[in-house]
Amino acid sequence: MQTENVVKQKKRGAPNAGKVRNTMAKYLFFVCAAMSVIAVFGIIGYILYAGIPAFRDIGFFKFIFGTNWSHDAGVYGILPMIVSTIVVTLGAILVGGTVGVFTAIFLVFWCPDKFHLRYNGNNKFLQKTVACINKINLRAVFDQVIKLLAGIPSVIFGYFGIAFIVSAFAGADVYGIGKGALSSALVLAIMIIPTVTSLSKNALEAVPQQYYEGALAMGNTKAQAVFRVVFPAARSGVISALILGIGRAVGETMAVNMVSGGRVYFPDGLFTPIRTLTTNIALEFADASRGSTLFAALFATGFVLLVIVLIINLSVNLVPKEFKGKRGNKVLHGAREEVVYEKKGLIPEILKYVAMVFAALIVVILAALILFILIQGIPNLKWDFLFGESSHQHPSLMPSFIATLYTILITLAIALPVGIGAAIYLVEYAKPGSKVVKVLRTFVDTLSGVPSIVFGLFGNLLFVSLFGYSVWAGSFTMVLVVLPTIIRSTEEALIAVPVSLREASYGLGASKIRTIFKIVLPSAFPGIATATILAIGRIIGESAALIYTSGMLITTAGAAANPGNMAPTLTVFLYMCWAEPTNYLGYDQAYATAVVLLIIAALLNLCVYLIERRVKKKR
Amino acid sequence: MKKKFLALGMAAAMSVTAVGLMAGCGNGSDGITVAFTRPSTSGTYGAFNELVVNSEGKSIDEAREEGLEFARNVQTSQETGNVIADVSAAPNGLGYISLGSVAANTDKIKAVKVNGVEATVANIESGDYKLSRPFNFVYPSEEGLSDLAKNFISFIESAEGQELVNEDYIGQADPVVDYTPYAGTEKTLTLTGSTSVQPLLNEFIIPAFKELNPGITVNCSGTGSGQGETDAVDGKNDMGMISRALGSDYEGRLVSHTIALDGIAVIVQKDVKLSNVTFDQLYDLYMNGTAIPFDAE
Repeated sequence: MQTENVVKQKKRGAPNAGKVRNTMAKYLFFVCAAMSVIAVFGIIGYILYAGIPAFRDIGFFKFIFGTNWSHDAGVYGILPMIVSTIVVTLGAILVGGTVGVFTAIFLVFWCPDKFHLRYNGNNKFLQKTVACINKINLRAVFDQVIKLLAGIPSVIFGYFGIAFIVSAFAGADVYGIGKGALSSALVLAIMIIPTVTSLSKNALEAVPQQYYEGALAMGNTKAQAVFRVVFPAARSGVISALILGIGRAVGETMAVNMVSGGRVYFPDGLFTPIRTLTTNIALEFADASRGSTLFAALFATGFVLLVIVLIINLSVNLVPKEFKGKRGNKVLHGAREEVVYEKKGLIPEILKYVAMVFAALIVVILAALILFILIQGIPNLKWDFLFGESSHQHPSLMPSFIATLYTILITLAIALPVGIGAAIYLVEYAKPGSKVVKVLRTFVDTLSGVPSIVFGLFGNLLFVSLFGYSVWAGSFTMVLVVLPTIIRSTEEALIAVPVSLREASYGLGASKIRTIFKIVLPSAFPGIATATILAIGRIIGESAALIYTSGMLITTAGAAANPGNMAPTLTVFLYMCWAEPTNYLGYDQAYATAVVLLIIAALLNLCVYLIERRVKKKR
Repeated sequence: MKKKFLALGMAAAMSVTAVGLMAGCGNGSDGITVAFTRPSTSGTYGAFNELVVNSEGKSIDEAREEGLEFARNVQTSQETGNVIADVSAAPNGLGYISLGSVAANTDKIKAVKVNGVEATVANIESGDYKLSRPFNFVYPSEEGLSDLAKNFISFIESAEGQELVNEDYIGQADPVVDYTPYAGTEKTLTLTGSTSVQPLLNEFIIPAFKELNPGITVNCSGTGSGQGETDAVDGKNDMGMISRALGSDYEGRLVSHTIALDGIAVIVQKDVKLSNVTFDQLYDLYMNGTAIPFDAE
């Protein structure tokens, strides 16, 4: 829709002379790209600028290699947090990565398409029900449900972690609590599974069908073909998936905060309370006064985090594009283990069952998570709470519905044109393979790894100063949060449009601008639409960036109707219910809100699914 | 691989210890072994550490400033809600929250006596209950304060406002003023800062204030005491809310106006048999890791 609007504006605004129009369009796209560059470097530059006093006052080595952090004593050292971040992330990728990759293999190769239920009785109703169940596309449902995991706000994972993981370990912890390194790693593992599974699945599906068929023709069993030929061929994609999973784990804040114990220790035991770099920012920031050493130290923490994310992103580029292994001997890099097997070994057969078990495990975890939310939330879903009048003593979700809608609309109205324009410039106008573009891409990727609380602080400084605390300030902050995703996804979608289409268009005498709008953009539309929906999901699920810009408060629908006022989005409301439980706001309301968020996430996934299905049908 | 074995070994060692410990639990002689604290920048944290003084006259705050660490059995919980969740999940756990947040959560937790004195509004007012701290509004200057903000304060300090404050807190109006609803042109009052102050305003003050001033929107957003101070300096709010005394960084730049006294309640799980803790016990639990037996009186 947005792109169409852009087209119309262009038509009206530009004079008829084709050349002028083309040049103007080029500059317009350039301006979009420039704005994105300014946003990216602005934030990264600000983090560095605000963090430098810490390196100066504390000393670089004392800060990085210091083993204690105590604001009371004025000591700021982050080595235990760096180590904790690395250990917890590795643990998460070990568990979540293995489970995710195997689940992807199961989904692609062994997941049955449909139920094969049989019913031989005469009951018409049962016959129809069975026929109906057999029509369900099992693979698609499984796929969608895993994607649903990705749309659940992280606060909910935190509470799931406390209710199931932490309490399960309480008996094994000498202090009887169960929080710490192990629980953090497991919660993160669950959170990265959707990322790893979805991306690994894409990588596996991208392997040419001939590889698989060839392997079968050589006399391999299905399992041997999958684990010896197809999986090694998909290796680079799978490793990229794992690295993105690591990125997600490193940047996660809210959920880890609830299960980590929050102390500055090296992770020397499974239940040692720990603090990661992101949770340190979240824990300490609430009251840090600007200009203080603590303030600078927290930004310096953010900068260290940024460097880690940058290293992770750069390592993605080091992954070889093609598989160069020796006859498929090295597999399972996700598990960081080498499995070398005999030519007609049983191992692939065993791995097949491993894949099935892990997929079943995911189903169990998912079912537990969703049931956990539904059972606690549905009894509290009352009309009054959802849509009733909101007052300070009896808050309803109505103001949050309005605030969420405004935030989505305002954010997309800015981020979509700028992001798409920037992507068009990068793909269609910038010199292909130019170093500047490469560097820019790396920074855009890095920005998407910045923990959202840092965006919140930046937004508080810039947008709250400009607009005051308001939904406006929150929305502008969210523009910065979603811009990298929109740029990169649009780029991918544009690159995926075959060059031959463009050449054919030029061959027919169409101008560049006409080719872009009539040929390239329509072909890339599904990719852009999917990116937009993912951005909406990100906006809905965001809490940290909005608390500091559009506020954490109870308000009325009337006040929320004006975006110049403060109002909490649904996820912020959910967080508020847990942060300060009172007579009128507590766990009951929190779980009810969680159900609403779950339903919205499911609807968004349905949209993505429908778009993808339409594209597949066209092909 | 080595790491993995190490981890497995550690897990094994820990479960052995845990089994031993749980066997010890069985006879019921166990007590409070774990304490929950708040992030070092929370207003409640600052007040608690300053007020808990051991028999040698040293407060937790002083010990911390000397560079002493909390004991190993202390964990950090981000928000009041997290402390309540953590304490209610651990029969051997103890934490502290604003007294105003206790009443709504008595299905999960209970407040224990401190030095033999019950945590009640009356005992705070009389000065017998030692764990109390002020709720303050902060702003750059009395002259710069908007008329609406002045009107809001005068409502809190009116007879009706004080009655509301005294439900769960202790009013500080001296003397009580007469209140007349706001008649000016401003429409919005923006307050940011402490999440501990929010319940007082949301539950008691704002609803009554809005009844008398129907056209006014009061935005009362909680992000932490320090944010209230920073915002007040930057002019991003009308007044900041803080749940402690004005921070030393801001002396001279902001003035503070106390609107109420709040107690800090020491909480344990609802069914735990602990009824009283002393400052010495609290200090030793937090700083030295000394357990508090359940039969302590």
